[in-house]
Amino acid sequence: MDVANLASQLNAGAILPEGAVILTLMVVLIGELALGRASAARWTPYVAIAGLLLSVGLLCLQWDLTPTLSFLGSFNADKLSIVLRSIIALSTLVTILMSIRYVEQAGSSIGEFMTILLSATVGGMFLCGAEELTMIFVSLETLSIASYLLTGYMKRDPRSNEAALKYLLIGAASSAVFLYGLSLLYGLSGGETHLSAIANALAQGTNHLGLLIALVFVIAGISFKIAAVPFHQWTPDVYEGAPTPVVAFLSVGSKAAGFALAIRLLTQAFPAVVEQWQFIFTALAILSMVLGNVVAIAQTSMKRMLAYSSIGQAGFVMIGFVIGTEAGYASMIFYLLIYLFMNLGAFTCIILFALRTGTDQISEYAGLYQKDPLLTLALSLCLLSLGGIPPLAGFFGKIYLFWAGWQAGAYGLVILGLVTSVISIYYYIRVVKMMVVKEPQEMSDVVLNYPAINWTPLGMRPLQVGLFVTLIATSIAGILSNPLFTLVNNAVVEVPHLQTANAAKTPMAILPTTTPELPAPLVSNSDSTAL
Amino acid sequence: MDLATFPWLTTIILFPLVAAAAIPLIPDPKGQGRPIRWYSLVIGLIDFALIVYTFSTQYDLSSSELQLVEVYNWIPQLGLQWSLGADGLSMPLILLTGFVTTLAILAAWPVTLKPRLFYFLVLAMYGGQIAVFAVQDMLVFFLVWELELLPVYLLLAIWGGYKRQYAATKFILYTAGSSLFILVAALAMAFYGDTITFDMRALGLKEFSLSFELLVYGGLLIAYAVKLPIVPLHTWLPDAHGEATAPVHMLLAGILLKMGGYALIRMNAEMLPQAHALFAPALVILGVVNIIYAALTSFAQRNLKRKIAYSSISHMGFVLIGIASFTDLGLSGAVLQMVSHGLIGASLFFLVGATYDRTHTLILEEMGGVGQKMPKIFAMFTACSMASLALPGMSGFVAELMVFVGFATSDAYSLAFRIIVVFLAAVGVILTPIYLLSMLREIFYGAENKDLTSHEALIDAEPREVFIIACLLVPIIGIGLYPKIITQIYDAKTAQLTLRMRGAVPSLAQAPVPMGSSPAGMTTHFYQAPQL
Repeated sequence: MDVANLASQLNAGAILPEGAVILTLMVVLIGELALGRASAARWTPYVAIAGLLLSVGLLCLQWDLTPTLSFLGSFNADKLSIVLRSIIALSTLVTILMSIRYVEQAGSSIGEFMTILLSATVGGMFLCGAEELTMIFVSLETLSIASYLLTGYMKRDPRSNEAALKYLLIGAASSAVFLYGLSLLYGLSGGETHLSAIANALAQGTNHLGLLIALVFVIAGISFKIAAVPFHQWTPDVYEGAPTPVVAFLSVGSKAAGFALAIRLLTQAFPAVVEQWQFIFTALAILSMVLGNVVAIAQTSMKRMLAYSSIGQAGFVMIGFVIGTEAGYASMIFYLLIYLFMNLGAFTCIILFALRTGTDQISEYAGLYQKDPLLTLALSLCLLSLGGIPPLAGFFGKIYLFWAGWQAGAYGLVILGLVTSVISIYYYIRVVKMMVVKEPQEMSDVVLNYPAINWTPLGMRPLQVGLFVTLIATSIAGILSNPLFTLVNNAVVEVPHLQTANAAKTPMAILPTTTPELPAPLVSNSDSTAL
Repeated sequence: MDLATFPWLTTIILFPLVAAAAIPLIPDPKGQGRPIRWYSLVIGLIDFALIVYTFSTQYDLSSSELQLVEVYNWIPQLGLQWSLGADGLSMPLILLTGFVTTLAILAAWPVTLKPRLFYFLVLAMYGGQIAVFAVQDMLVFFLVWELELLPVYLLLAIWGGYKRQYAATKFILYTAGSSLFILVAALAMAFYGDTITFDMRALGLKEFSLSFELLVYGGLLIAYAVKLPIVPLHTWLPDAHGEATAPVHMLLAGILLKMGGYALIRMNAEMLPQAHALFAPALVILGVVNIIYAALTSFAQRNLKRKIAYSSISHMGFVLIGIASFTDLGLSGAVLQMVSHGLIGASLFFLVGATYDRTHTLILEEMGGVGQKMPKIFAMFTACSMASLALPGMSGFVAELMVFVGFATSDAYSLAFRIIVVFLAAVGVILTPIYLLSMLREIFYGAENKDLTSHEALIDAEPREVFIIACLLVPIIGIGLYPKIITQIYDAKTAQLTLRMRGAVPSLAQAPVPMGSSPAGMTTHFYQAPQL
């Protein structure tokens, strides 16, 4: 095989968006080394933001291309991966917007921070399209190791160190288990590493038990990434100790990558045991929804509360995953997209509050409405959206998940999801109550001494931009969600293995694109005789 | 602009919402909310004028069909449609919403705490509640039903009384928890059969199996029983109503409770007639329990607001009996009772608020003898209490009488059952004057509380308050004297609905509608020869 032939087979254009991120990463790193920390800090964040925007732009350009396998089948740039890669790139983008001021105030270097964050992004983006075992593992580890580093980024803060150590130990263990699962797959399939080839090889094999063990190990690794109960134990401590922007990235970007991995690996490599993995994920979804939402009620720290809430939210997303219909996958991606904005919006708000007051205790938010109406409004809307109150985006996300769940006949899961989302309203609204309802005399001390609102220091403007973008998206992405629905449906429709995974199971997995039949005239007022 | 195809209902719903969004931009130099108050009042009046104009020019009273229909695809992937329409069932309640909300804005004149947020929430509720009565898509119905959660929660929690946060949390958990049933029912009905649709008319045409209908009916009944409320799911109401401030109270009693009754007729009775035929006796019994239990409890309350709150629950029992009567007259009475209680409840709660503003207490023992100092409030309070205890000549009397006669002449129940129910409900009707009159005595006559009556804050009603009560009393007495003024706007719909409900009861399907059951004739007939 000559070089030219090989180059054409690599089809390297598919990873242009990742290339843009890697290039940005290099520029940031070298810029800081060459110009020194202080002077580079003035422009590197904007380079990173521009790079990520470029990457998202390139992803948009790829939307209409026919998906082709690149790198000899290791990387699949289909529409599903494009949407998920965009979610990860966007989450990094918003994370950078909110972290500039945070890192600056902590006295650390923003350049290094962004370098690691961008590495994690590259890992996550590659993971979304990876179709080969080595590729999957390498990109997963890129994401994970960068996440450990980010968690411990506040070097002088003992809680950050503790969080990083806990995350590293549990993460390493789960990576090992995951890798063991992959090695079993490799062995069972007779030395195949491509997911589709594995599926073909396993379809003929009879070693059911071995396959099940591999499945359990792989699911353990994935569940660690998406923090599904009972693989969630690291979450509260890591979320509490890690720098808040990192938590924001972990709860959105890293989770989206985990779900991307789950969709690709489980639907493609394990079609033989669909019922088994759907059963396991049903159990995980039930446990996550119940435990995440119930334990969140008892939290006093905002970050811990959001940690448990994100476990519960992952439980809702899993409903879309386990039902295995096209609408299910579409609703899952739709929810991730909505969740990106509302959760990052909430994190932007708590970063802003922490920057101004230095605390993240829920009780310290008392009476904030009097001092900072904008922050109160933004945080309230994001939390209420997470709770699923209409007409915010989260409501539509949940409706779609429950709609798809009901369509597929998962009545129990849907009802449990509804009940737990009512529970979640209770703890989200507790924060809103704290901020809005408290009288001036009930104000907490930190709110009483709230500093004058000042957007001029370095890094505050990007924070403001991030706040407005997430706030606007959370408020109107639900009401005007029609284009988003079209987007996620298109993303799912053209992925063949999602159809094969569910074709055997659910005969009614059709998209109801037909508008409901109505008793004739629909034209307004045509049947009334105007007086 | 073509008047016939103009999206009137959408405009009526969105106008207050859009106007509410502009509230943060209004300058308020003194921080007392004066410009915001006037702005909201003007918006309220404009929207009410729009409602009146729309219904007077674009609506055909003689038709039982859905009118002013608007259908826009919202999210076609889900089958979600922004579809609106008004028929005889929704139209009186939309009018009531516009009327009571506008008066509530006027009643909120003394509110100076966080005025921007307050008027924002009231205007948001304005649009949301009209949407509840106009929406014809079940999923959107759930959306707008939930939409009112947060405004009410904040209105209770910020501007309420001493235990307001407890009351507000209880409200939101009850309502959010019960509204799950609406979503589950909507999904279940939408996916039943071959087509997926959330359109209420299309759902009404689907042929459900009986067991499915019973399940869905039961779920919806729980959801609406919390709202209406029906004993034993009423416990949030005395707390919420006991803590709410007067204008919020007017909205809660005047409009929010009607959402339950409306939905019960619109969904349970209209869309699930088979199950309704089986559930109807239970509804009647629940209605009787409501009337008697709440009247007795109200009798024992020492807190003025809680007393009136229980009287609201008691009055809602008649709605249940009317819905379950399978007669034109009974159903017509149920709708009239909702409208009438909307007016009477709003006026009573407003007066309770006005009294509280002066006495600063709600405990009956601490009042007494204030009638001398506040003759106007006394007179208005007496008039509204008389309306509430169903004095002939006022709307409450007509509505309750129609329900009584409708149920008594119903051929769906055995004679013994009818006698017992009518007897027990009549006992409830007798209890009402007892507690309302004794309440009046304790506030305005009775042992004089010297500290209170000598207090300088105890001034008589101001013109604004007299105006609000006058506005409410005019329709109350107007309906009482000439009920046709209101029954004629929904007669066509209730007649058609009764036929549909009767069609599901095997013994009634072929039977003619009982004598004297044509409401237009009947309601005037009462006054020619009062027979009861």
